[in-house]
Amino acid sequence: MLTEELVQDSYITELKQKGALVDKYLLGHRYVGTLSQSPNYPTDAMPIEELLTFRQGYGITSGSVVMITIRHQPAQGGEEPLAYQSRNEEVATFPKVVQAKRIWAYTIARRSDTSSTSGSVIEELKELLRQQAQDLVEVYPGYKVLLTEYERRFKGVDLEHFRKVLPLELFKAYVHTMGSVEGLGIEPRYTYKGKD
Amino acid sequence: MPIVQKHGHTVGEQIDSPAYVDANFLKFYTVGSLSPSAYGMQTAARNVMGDLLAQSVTILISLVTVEEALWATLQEVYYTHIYKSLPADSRVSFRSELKKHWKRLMNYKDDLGKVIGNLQKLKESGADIRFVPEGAESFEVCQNAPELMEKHSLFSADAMHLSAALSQAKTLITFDVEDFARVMDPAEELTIILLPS
Repeated sequence: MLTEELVQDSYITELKQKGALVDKYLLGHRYVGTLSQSPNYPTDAMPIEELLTFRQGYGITSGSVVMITIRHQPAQGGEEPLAYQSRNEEVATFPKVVQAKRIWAYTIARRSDTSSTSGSVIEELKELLRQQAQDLVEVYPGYKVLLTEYERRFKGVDLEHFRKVLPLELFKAYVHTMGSVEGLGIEPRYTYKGKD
Repeated sequence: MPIVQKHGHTVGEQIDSPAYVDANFLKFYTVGSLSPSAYGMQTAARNVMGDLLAQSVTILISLVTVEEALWATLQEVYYTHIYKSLPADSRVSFRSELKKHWKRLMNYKDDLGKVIGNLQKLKESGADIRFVPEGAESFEVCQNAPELMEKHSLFSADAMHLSAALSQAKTLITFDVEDFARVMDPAEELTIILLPS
């Protein structure tokens, strides 16, 4: 997952001032959506304060990535749009993300039903985040990534060797410029009708 | 020394400077791959880049390198995210259906930006990265391409890569083993590193 262009807290603050809620985000990622443009999303979502609390509570720095995705809620009896099936397949390469996704979807469902947060579900989510925080790998002092991201970007790369032979600043640039394709983190609302 | 081919690269092996890199190298280094089956190429590009930096090798790219890398990234996004989401009976080739899915593909425009943006970051951190050819030399490189197409049975983009490399580089790094393994010329001097694809 992208980590070289991180969300700064100032950006989150700005969104907060605008009254934004987070409907889909990567912690430490620049991608934060607002509900106002997602009329088909559930009307309840994790407030920005909770996002920050989760991150701070588990020592997840802005350089770390934990993904929590709210699952699109299809209309009752309806099918999940194809675009979201595709997204699910993409996310399925990261089992813990899927777990988070499911838990959070459940949270949303419960909130919709009861207009209150389910304590047990939040605890599940906290435990998941705690586990993810333990999976962080330090690439160089001050820069940690999740094990899944480490394997995706750096598996097989002789970082130990290059850490020794490259000047530190160049090594940092080397690490950060080994990028990966992320997309915007969300597909546009899309149902196949023969064309976009 | 004539054109010589070298298969693969081991970390720490010397690379003669300057080194011209092809599109897949650029793509696998800057944005990697979405397909686990291509992680080997991604790893190879990233280890070679480490050596290019460690040995202070001048890295040469061209506009053809960038254009092809953008295209390859777009193609991979299509097959990974869009093609699979279409009903089986509507699945068609990338090129013929590209425009229909342009809006979705452009969800990945920031990733396209990384293709050159990440190189720029490396340059700003001290790496010697240059575009070739420049100025009047551009005409010569372009004029040589048709002859190289005929001589080595290369398509136009590959001939442009080779022409640019012959004009400025000591080394050409490519994943295109099939086309560049047959490039022989005793009159030219170039080491072609063929990375496994």
